[in-house]
Amino acid sequence: MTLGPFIYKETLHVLRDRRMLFVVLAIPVVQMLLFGFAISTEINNIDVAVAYQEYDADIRQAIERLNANPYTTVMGQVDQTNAYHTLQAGKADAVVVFRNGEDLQIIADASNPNIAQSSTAYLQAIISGDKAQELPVDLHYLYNPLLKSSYNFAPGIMGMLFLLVCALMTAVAIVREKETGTMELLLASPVKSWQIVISKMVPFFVLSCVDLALILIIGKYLLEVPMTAGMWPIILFSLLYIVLSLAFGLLVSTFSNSQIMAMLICGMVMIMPVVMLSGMIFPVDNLPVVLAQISYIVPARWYIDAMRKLMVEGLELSLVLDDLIVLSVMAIALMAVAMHNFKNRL
Amino acid sequence: MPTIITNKICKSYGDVQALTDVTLQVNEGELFGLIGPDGAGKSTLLRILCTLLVPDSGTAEVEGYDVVKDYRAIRSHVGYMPGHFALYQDLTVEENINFFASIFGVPRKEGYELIKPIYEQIEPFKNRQAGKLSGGMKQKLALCCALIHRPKVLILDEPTTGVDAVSRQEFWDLLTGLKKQGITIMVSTPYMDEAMRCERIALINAGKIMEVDTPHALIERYHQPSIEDVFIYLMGGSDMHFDFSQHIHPEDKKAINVKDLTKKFGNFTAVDHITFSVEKGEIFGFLGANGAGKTTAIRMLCGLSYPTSGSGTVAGYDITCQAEEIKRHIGYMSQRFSLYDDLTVWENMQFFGGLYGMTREQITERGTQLLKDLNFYDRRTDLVTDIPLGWKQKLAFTVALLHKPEIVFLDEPTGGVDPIVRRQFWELIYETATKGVTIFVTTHYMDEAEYCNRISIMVAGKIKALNTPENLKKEFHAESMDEVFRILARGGGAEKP
Repeated sequence: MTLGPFIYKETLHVLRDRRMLFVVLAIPVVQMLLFGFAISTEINNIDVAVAYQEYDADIRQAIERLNANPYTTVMGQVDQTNAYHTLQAGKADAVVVFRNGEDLQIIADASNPNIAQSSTAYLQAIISGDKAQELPVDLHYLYNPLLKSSYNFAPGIMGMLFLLVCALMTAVAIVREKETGTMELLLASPVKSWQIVISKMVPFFVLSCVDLALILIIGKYLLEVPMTAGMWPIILFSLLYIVLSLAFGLLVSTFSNSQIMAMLICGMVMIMPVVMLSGMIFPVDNLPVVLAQISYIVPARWYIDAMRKLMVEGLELSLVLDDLIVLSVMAIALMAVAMHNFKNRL
Repeated sequence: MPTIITNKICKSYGDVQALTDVTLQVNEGELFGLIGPDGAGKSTLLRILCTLLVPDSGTAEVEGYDVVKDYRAIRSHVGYMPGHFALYQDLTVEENINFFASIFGVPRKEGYELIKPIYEQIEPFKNRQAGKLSGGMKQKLALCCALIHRPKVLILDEPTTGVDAVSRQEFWDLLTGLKKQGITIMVSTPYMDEAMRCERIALINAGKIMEVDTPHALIERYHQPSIEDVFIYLMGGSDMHFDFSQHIHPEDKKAINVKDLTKKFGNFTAVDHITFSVEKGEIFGFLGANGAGKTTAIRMLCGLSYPTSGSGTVAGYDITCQAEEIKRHIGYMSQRFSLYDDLTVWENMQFFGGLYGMTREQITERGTQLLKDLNFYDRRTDLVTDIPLGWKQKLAFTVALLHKPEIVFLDEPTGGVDPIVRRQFWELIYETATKGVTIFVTTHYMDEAEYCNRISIMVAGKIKALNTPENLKKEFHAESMDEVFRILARGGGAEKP
């Protein structure tokens, strides 16, 4: 038999499930926009309260600088003993305590340590103002001069999304046939295993390509990610990663007996490590040694790394060759194991 | 030359021996039945023949091909229909058929002649998704899909399970037609009465073939009135005698009394002005084809669904406004859901007792008594999943009686269990009824209908007949309830999709 009718049937399954189709196409758009515009780790506004005993020129200057800075808002003066209450009540993110003019204390709400860290550093820089001029530092942020978090998230979203669409959907689609008993019919027919597998993958491959196009368009024109390396290396890497994800979905389907189990495995085994260990949010280098070692086998780590280099840094393909090789080997190995595990009997 | 030969096939799953030394032959062009209860090993044997499973030991051949070595050849030559209508529910009738034609690499036209008489019955719905067809229609579509590549051998795994008596009858007529075209058919079924439609049958129980012969030869050989009795005899249950003459005398008090009960879903009237009453202590059979409205009616009686119009009382409580009271005074058991598999019998009792607001002491006292009556008290800490299906059904019934309900609703309580258990189950029902509990039961087994005091037959939302089995048979000049049922259901027009 030819694959045509088989692929046609799989496509019908995907098209008939309108809600799922909508979710798959809407997720990348929503995520890109959310991470790109709404959620950012850069510090936009620090509410500061000040406390002092004797008002002097130094303090006046410091407060003026804080007032003038667009990223800080001075909420007013509080009594030094009241500093903790101010933070507890959420009236300020940090309290700057001037002690006798010279000594300076910053008390920050560190319930979110990331924000506390960057905001204290920032406050310090503002307040010390003139004194710092004695040792001028010319900061120069390469690749992302505005420190836009969307640059960082675009590769991360791609690393997660393709797993979701390809791995999860493929696994569920195959396991569903086991559940309804139609897999039994397919196996008892002259169809070969590889034909079943390829036909299952094609619609999700196409869907992923649509998602890829959406992400790249949003990334380039709305979030203005540079993509200086050109589109083709990015597309090449993404297709490789999509194939790898499909293979992973197939592998999951071979040892899942229910759709719930397939979803759990995809969710726990893949999505979690992608978020934690791929460098999407937390830098891989900061991980404890053991986890850093484990991160080497997480495909998303290599993919996100390459995407960052290509999309943000604009490196040439030759400089991400190691990522390319690792991903290729992983894709081939996964596909081989999955095909081997795909039984042609019950 | 036999078409199917099996030689000493054994197959086990872990500790469970599914098949033991199964040896049988099916001749070319034969309609061969594999008869046995759930869990007897029927599906395992058929799957081995379809090359889906590999036997642990022994050999099997289909059309001269070995099931292990030549599995590819068998897969192109055999038509297979697994249980539970394996169809693509989200594809239309036509798309399903086209797809199965394509995977066997045959143009649809080629197979069309063979399936034409069957396909014509579902053709009006060819653009409807398979999931929206009735059970009988799905069954016909599945058969079309299995036949589209014109196989010489057709293997059917419980094709009539979950289908009403009329559709079952029609299905066997189709099989007889296919046999005339020279197709060898091997079909499994848990319904003993269907054995008579086969040329030869194998009786299988607990993984072993007990007998192989023509149904008539078996009945004569063992001097039994029916195949079911032969089966019971072979299982060693010959001394089982069920005293159906032990009549129950219902008290003259209404347990259920409904008038003009109606339920509409949009334009569709599922239950159409039904009026009937059930005496206290009566065993009332509530029959009807699939889709006749039985389930909807039962839901209204149990206080789970609000009637569109009409009124009624159950156990003395109004079904329109006292649903909570009703739920407290009735018991419910169905074939699909009975007990939690991953809890022990005792834990199930604690849970269900607790649901009905019984105290721990009450549950312990009543549970102990019920389990002792059932001779199951010593095994009360067994996990439900480890208990054989027949016992499970009896225990589920017992649990439904825990809170001393006045009425028990049984929804196909004996589906798929072996004939001995079925009779034991009915003994249990009789015993319960003699204690004054009203039994309201649905079933697809027409012989069970005869065990009821009175039965009603629903067709297309209306109660078409309501009387004692004897009177119904007289009224319709029929010999058996099966016949009565068919006359009524057919008279009510063709089955709606």
